[in-house]
Amino acid sequence: MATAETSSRTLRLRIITREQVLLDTEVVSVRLPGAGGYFGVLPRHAPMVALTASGLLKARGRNGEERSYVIHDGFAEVGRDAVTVLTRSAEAPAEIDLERARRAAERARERLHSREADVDLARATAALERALARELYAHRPL
Amino acid sequence: MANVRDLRQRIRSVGNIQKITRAMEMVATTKLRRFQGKAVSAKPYTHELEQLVRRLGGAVASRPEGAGAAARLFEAGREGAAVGVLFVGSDRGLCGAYNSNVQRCLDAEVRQWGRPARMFVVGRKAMRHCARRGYEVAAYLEDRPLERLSFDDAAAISALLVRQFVAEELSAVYLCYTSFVSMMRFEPRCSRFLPITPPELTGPAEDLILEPSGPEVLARLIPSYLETAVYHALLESITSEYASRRFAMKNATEAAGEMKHLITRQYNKVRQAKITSEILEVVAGAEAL
Repeated sequence: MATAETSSRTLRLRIITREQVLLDTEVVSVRLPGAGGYFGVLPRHAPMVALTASGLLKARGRNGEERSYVIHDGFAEVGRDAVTVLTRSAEAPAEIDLERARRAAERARERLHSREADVDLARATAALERALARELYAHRPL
Repeated sequence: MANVRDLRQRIRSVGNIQKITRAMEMVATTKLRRFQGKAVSAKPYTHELEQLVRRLGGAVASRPEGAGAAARLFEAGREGAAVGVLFVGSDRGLCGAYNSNVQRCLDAEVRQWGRPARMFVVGRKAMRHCARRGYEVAAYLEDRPLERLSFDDAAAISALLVRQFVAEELSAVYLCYTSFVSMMRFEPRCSRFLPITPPELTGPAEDLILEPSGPEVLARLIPSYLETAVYHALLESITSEYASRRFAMKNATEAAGEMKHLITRQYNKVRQAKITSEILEVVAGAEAL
């Protein structure tokens, strides 16, 4: 397997959220949380559109440095030499507000446990997943 | 001839109005900048999502059976059912022709459809217009003020429209809003929301891997796409509203300045005439002695 230093091809990785373009950089490999589990993308991957789930995206740069971001449900579009991640929100683990994530998880659990009819189960579940992923990866570099 | 005291008072009141309109102009400018910034930074997401729909939408148009439940949103609704319209106006006035423009656009469209329209209304002014015209209002979304617009609000509105369309209560859904072209240009627009117009097939959709599966990807992509469309319509409307208000207030401030100038001129004339006549009186009195 080619090491990071010798591989010449790179991928353009972009993470785009509803609010901003969070990241636009060249990397040599990416690992993404897909709807059906984690998957990796290297340069020259076949074109693909995959659903993403809440989890940790890891990217390795040209010099072997690793970066990670917590991303959520959305889409990953893989072109020949580009990966574009469209997700509702994403953040670097160090930027996560752990308190807020805990409170959000608590609220989501309450909604799931309540017996009121107007609870949107899918939305509450998604909110819980987001909060749990944030809690799990906050302040845990790599 | 107007007397000096009245004129002085008018100068003062026009000056006060000017102060108010200037303050409103400044507030509108700040808010405009805020919403414009929001619209600009939300653009890449919308753009990429549209590209994705364009690439996958072709596949839906050619093989509806592979699209799953989302295929329903590409087909025309029940014939003869009402047309749904998300109608976006402002809550407050003093924003120039903003409301009347979008209202005129709506009226023209409704007349053209010749089918009953069912309104989903945002904004108090828009609501008042519907009441005046006697349009059927299905929902007045007053608990989602544009001022504090969030993506979740747009998603909820989009979900409401999609539900009604899928339940065959609506034959089509349109968005009637004001699109923000530039600081000086904002155009009322009535664009089709549902059924989704099959986009041009741009890429070789056949060899695209869809993970976990085509229907599953589309089932999530299409709602996301519709949500961003609603979000954009709302965001552009409020941006236009503030651009229009800023423009109107700027004009009002300038008009007040001109008026103040004119009245001051007249005031000086009257005051001078009064002084002259008083001097004449004094001189005449002195001569009489």
